[in-house]
Amino acid sequence: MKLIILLFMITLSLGTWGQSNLTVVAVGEAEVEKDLIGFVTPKLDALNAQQATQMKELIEILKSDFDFYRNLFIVEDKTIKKVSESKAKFVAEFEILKESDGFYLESVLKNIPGKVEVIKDKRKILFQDIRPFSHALADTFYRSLTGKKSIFESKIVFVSDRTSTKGKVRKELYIMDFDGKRKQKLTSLNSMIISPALSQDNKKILYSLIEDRKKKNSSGVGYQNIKNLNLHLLDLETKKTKVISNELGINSGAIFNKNGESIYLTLSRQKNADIYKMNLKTGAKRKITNHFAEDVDPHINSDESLMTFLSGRPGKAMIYTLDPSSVEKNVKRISFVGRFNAAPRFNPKGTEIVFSSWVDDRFDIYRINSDGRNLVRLTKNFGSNEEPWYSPDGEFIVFTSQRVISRKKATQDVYIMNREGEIIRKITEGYGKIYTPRWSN
Amino acid sequence: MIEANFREDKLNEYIFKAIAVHLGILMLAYVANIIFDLNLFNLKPDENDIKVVQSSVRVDVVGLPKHTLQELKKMETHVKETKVEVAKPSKSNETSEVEFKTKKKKVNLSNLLKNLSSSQVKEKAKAKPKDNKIDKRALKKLILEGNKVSQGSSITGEELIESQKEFVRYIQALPDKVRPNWKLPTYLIEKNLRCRIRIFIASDGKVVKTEILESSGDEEYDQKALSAIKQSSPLPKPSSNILKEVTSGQVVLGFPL
Repeated sequence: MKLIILLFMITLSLGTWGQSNLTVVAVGEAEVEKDLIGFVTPKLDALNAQQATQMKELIEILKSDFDFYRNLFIVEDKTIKKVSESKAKFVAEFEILKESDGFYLESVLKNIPGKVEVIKDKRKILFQDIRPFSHALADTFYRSLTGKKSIFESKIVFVSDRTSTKGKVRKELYIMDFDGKRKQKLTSLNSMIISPALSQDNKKILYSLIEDRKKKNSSGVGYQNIKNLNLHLLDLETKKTKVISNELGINSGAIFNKNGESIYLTLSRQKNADIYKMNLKTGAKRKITNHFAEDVDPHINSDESLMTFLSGRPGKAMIYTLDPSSVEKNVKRISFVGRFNAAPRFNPKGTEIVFSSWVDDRFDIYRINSDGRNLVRLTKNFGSNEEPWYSPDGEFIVFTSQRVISRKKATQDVYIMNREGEIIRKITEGYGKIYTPRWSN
Repeated sequence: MIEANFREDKLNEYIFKAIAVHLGILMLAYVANIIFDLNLFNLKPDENDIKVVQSSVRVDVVGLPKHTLQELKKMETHVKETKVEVAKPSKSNETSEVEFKTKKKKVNLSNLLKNLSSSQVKEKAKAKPKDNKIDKRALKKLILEGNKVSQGSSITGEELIESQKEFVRYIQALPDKVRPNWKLPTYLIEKNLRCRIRIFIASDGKVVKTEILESSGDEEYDQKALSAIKQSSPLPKPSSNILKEVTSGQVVLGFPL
């Protein structure tokens, strides 16, 4: 009998053994692990004074480039003459080699704790183009560390009024490196250019131009001179321009489609503005939006499955999305707040939209998911911030910021922030008032 | 009498046989459990046994966010810095009662929301959390989803007995201790993985044993989570009231959830 009781107790204890209560507590999202990166100054004995200066500039450009990705890397600031002086996890070492056709730069990027060569690279030094040469090398390093393309070789197209005179405002088209250097003037039209857009291959630019035009009087007798907003296309290779659309009214806000064969643009046709798709070869246009309210400023995601645009449907300018494959297909309102919203732009993946909104007597920049969730504010107390545009990797946003100096004077420069709203740096200064910066693809 | 003895012998025999059969089944099941990883004895905890500590607030937001993402991050950092500490029992008090005290500043959800609110933002908090600890995740979600008028989510919660409350307070302090050491390279962050680690905490707060309860499937991710725990040890000292729970491995840390 005792044995029976014993066995019964064992059976009971087995049941108790099986009970276990666990409580999960969420630690939360991890922080990004930042890696310290250092650059060893090469021995410059073989170079002349000018070349030596350029090589020092190369090191500074590498440091400056990596500083953009400060959410991933911390750049070792001190001058390092040998690897052992560095405390960094990743250190780049350089050697200048003299060969029959010129000087070569051999670079080795090392993972110091792992004692591993991340990448070894050898390329001919282009002293005459040291900036693009340095950006290309920085991109090679960045790719080897992250597996992704950087922004270091990208460009920004913008409009500036720097050639304006007292009597006439002129807004011309310019292009510069992503860091604001090597600015180039692209047009000399002595007119007002607005809203440029680059093709996917970065070889063509669409822009609208305010031009004179004759319009029939309402009486039907005679003509009157009016200003019309016409759409042009500039080929950056041939430097040739041509008129794409010059219908009466607004021909503006154009962007290229994915393969560059068509464009999306806003046409008013003397009525309310709507968005159209236009075939560049045939000139055929078809409606994308068809509403009595104004629909303007289209932008598409990378696979062209979604378009975001600005619409006055609810009574004030709000952000919408739709499927551009048909007319008024799957129209969805994204923003529900803000007195006036402007310039909605997708990130390259099409998962986020950045836009500016009028608040407290100025514009500030906000970010929202493409499904209308997770609205966040990115700028505040930083002048009036407009015209945001994502970098090709989606990690940064370029925008203009206006500072009022006096009743008659204001500056408007280009800034870059990361997508978390951390201002990285101002990239233009004293180059006129700058409008509509567009990052290359 | 003979008949009675006979019946008792038979009864004993049947009982022995029944127990032997049951034990046999039990042994078979145990062996099958080991071989086929069936979890028949509930030795490994089931999802249903796991309680997740969280709280929720219903809120409708009808304006643009007043604060920038950078400002919110700074606020979050500030909250992180307001550590929850386990106070040492007073010498004069012989009882082992342990109190949780905020060292720097009393932080509660209503105070924080007061700072966050703007004239455009209307919040409808139907209930407040039961204690001073803030669910920062809920707060972050609340702030980030400030675009359209949302349905909100209902308040849920159960009355807990005092020792359970103490246990909940203790484990809610753990993320603040572990999170500063919880770091990942971007390529792992982008994978959106999750792992859960069971921890066994000694009476002095040291983590004496860890057990990967739910692997992320990526060894490096799991190792980073284990490393975060290792670097965070010792954790706050548990009181004697909750010693049984924490030493027996009832605490599971979710990375990130």
